[in-house]
Amino acid sequence: MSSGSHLSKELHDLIKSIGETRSKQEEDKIIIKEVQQLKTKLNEKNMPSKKVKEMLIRAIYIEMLGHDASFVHINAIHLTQSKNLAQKRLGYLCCSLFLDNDSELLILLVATLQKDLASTNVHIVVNALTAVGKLISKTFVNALTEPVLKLLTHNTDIVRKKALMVMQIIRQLNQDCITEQDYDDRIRRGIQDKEPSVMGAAFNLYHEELKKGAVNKYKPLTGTFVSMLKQIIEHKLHKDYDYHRFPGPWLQIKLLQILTLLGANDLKVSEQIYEVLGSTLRRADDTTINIGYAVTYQCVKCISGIYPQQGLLEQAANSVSRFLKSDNNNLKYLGINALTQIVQISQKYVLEHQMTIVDCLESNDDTLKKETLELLFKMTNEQNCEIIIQKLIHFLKTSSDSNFKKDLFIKISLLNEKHAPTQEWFIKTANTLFEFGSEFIDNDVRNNFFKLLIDNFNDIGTEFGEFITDIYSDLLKNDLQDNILKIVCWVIGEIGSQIYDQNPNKLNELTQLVIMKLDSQLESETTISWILTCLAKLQSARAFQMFDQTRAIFQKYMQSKNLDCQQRAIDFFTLAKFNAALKGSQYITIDPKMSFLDAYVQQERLRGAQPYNPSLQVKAAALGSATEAPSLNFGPYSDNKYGSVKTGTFGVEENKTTNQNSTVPTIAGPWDDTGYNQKQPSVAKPVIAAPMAIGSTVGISSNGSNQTTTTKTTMQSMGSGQMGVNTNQTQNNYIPPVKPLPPKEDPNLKEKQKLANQLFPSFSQTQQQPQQTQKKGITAMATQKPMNANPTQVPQSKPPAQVNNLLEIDDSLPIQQSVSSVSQVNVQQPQIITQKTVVPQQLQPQQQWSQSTPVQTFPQQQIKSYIPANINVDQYEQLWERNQNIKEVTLQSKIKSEQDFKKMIQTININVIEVIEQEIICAGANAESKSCVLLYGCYNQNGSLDLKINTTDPKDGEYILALIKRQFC
Amino acid sequence: MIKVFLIVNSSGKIRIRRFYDEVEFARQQQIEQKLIQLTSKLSPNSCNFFKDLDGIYDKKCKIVMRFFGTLYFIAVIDEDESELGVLDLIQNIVDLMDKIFENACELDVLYHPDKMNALIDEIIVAGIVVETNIMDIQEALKQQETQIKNK
Repeated sequence: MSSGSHLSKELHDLIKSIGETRSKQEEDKIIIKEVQQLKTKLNEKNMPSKKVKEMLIRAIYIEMLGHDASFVHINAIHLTQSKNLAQKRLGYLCCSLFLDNDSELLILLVATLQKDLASTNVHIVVNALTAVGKLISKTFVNALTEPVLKLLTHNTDIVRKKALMVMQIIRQLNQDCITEQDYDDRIRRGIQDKEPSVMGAAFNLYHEELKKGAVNKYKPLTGTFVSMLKQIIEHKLHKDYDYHRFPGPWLQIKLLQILTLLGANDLKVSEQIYEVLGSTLRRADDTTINIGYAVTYQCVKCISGIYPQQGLLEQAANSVSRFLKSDNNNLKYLGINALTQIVQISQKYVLEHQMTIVDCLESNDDTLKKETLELLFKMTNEQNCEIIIQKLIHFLKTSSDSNFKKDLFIKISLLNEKHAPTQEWFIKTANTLFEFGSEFIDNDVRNNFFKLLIDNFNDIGTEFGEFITDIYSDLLKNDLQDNILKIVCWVIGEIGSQIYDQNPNKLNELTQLVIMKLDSQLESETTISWILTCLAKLQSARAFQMFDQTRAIFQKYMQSKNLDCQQRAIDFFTLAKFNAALKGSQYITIDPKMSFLDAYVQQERLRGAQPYNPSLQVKAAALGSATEAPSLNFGPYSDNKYGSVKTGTFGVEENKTTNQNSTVPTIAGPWDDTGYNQKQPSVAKPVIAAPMAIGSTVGISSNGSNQTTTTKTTMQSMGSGQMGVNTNQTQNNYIPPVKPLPPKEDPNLKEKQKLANQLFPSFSQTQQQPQQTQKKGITAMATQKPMNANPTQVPQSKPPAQVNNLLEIDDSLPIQQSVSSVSQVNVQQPQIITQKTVVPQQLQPQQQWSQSTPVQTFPQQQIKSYIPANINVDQYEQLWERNQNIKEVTLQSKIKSEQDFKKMIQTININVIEVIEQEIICAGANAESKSCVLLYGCYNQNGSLDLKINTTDPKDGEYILALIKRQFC
Repeated sequence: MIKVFLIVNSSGKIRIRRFYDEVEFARQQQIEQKLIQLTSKLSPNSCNFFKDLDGIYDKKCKIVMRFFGTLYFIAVIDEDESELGVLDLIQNIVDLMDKIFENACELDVLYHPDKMNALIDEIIVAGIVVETNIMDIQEALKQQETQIKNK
């Protein structure tokens, strides 16, 4: 030990006693005592600063242990004013360690810092600079800029380099302190400094600037950096900068980092770099010391970062392969990392090291294993997929690390999907994978797999279907884990039943196998549900014969204590009756245009109903209508009752197929309206979510697989929806739609648009147009509607309301005639003015529906309550069109997030239908009158809130608006 | 850039703590504890580098650890910093400690936080490695010490 000047007995004792403690409590006790002692002592007058210094060291120790030592902060600041260098240094150190950038005490430090920065003593300056580097903040950056900049020309290199670093921090804090030109000049002088250490510090500043994106500005300097690197590798630097005889390794690394940024995607700049890069790599490769490898690694990073050059890439791959063969795990890790970089440019150079890489998976080092897996994942292609997956499955079998196994599982299944050479290989690999990783099979994995199977089945057809049915029925003969059994059941039910639709022998064989499984030991009862569903699907096949057996089974499970099984058994039992009745019946032809409704539509039109307006459909799409994906929103169960049902990929699947098959939407048509006419949707049927989810797959996939709509499909799509019991309800509540259902839009186009909107939110103006036009549509509606509505409203006995409506006509007419693009504000303002002058009864707020004055009135005589309405976007759209009373306002509110908005909606007690970014649509009904309330809101983070409230009864709109204004503005 | 530099002893007691970005004291201690836990993963032959996958500091960061005698040297670095470079930087710091304290041990770090921090401040300024030339740093530190003694 060099000096024990401040090694006091107290510090020694403190450290010793802390070292001897066995628990955190003991430690805390000692510290509390120590803190007490320090506090009293520091408050004593005339304490010699040497003693204070010693006590501060104890305080550092206390703070390091995680205790509060804020009582010494002021003493630390005092100590910086000491004339003794050691005390000053400790004072600055304590300030750097203890104080935050925003500490109020810092202001006390500024004068001392200014003075010390101007000191003639180099060490004082250095210590002050170090403290400035840590503590400088926006509040006093101005006060310190000048003295720091002066130090850039100091005659000691330690000062110059630290001043450079501090200058960078100053520039970061406040760009106005140093002009860009000045800053550039100063760092340029930095790299021209005769001291390599100052030059090295200046490299950091360039690197920071480049990282911030100022690449083009510094491209002309490429030559300078290249020649510097050249000089360094040629040992032109002073020997002091050698590290284990390797010239300036850290400077080389820094320069390589700079060159990487300069040469990225730029052939011209890169061409200047290639030569020096090659020789740097060669020289670094010659060494066998760690730091040499560090430079090699940096070269590889540079080679893969700049415009690629074949020779260099090859050289890089070769250097890196040496890393992989090393026994040192650090090098292996870097090797893997480097190859991951190279593989992104070209797989060619990496593939030859493939087996070496795979071997790295055997390592017992977690970090290495993870990186290797990542690399293998990136470098797998059609050619090496079999061998790599084989290896990976081997690791899946043998590994005991469950995190690693999960990673492996996911990666293998992705690779299998992407690169499997044949169908057969794909299925077999998937089965092996499921076998060894069954604990990782969740709904997502399953649904994804099913989707792939169905897609393939649709593409290839019977041959593939027979093939997988065979594989999976063979599997059934073995003992299976539940997770796999579920998959098998699905395949047999879904694909088997279609393939062998006409083959009674096969069907019987399959059914036997499945029934057998019911008696085996099962891990959970949900598996029984899967088996029941499978049986139900099988019995829907036309050649199915074993009705007695299945009926017995369903009857047995109708008594099950498990609600899910019970519900299924009941449903399927009921379905079986229909199935039997439908056997042998002829194909049903479906009229997609629903021409039988024409007469009815005509009649409604004559009565004044709105004609079908396709643009509303566009609006629905813009609002993120369910037809898009991935949520399932197919007629009947778009109803929020099953909102929690996770349908996963099937939503997509279904949409695709329904739209391919133009007949299907017409089937779905009437169903749309059932949910919509249910005034009290809160009385949900006591059906558990799960059975519907699985039940739904029946209908969906049958839509997908049977292109021609047969009796069976109809049957199944009924089953898919609300099953036997519910069909009755459908009939009860069924109210014929007012107009023919709109044709569905091309789903692909919509999906593309959505994707485009996600990817290029600001660019895709054209893509967003549907939404904009639709908005116009609504505003136009807002002004148009009163005109249509008025004739019927005139005879009503509410003069003020009538006046309002008339006013609206007066206002809207000229606006409509003049320019349709007049902004919303303009539309509203004349109303306010005229209303103020014309209507004297303004104080009766409940009558003033279409007025958007900021007057905060609230109908006190009645407290209204609302209930949520579970409708989908299409229904919302239709209702919007029917209701005439649109109230539109822009408020300054407290609502700044979706959560806020939802809270507001909850307060009103209506429910959210759809959320698209900041736009939310909601619906509800007046609990008493059952009149409908629709709300469209668009919030903004700055609190501005656009609201459109459309209600059957104007009073509801008035009430809700007042409620919102009162509670949320 | 170096975000955090820690020296911890083998029983998990912190010896030097430097944070180069503004981090709240409470969070500093959380980070510290998690890093100390991570030291258990370090074995003589294992890799000294970790990716901060759990977001101890920041998911983009990397952690470099090295064990000397009874002390763990831990550095959290951002994606640009070279892992091997920092590993040798730690070697550099240890070499310097040996020169300054003559056969440095844990107690030196404990008893001389001022000298130890001054040493680190010579090498790392605001998270950037500014000096790697041992001779220069040693010279600068020696000068300071002589001046302190003379006064």
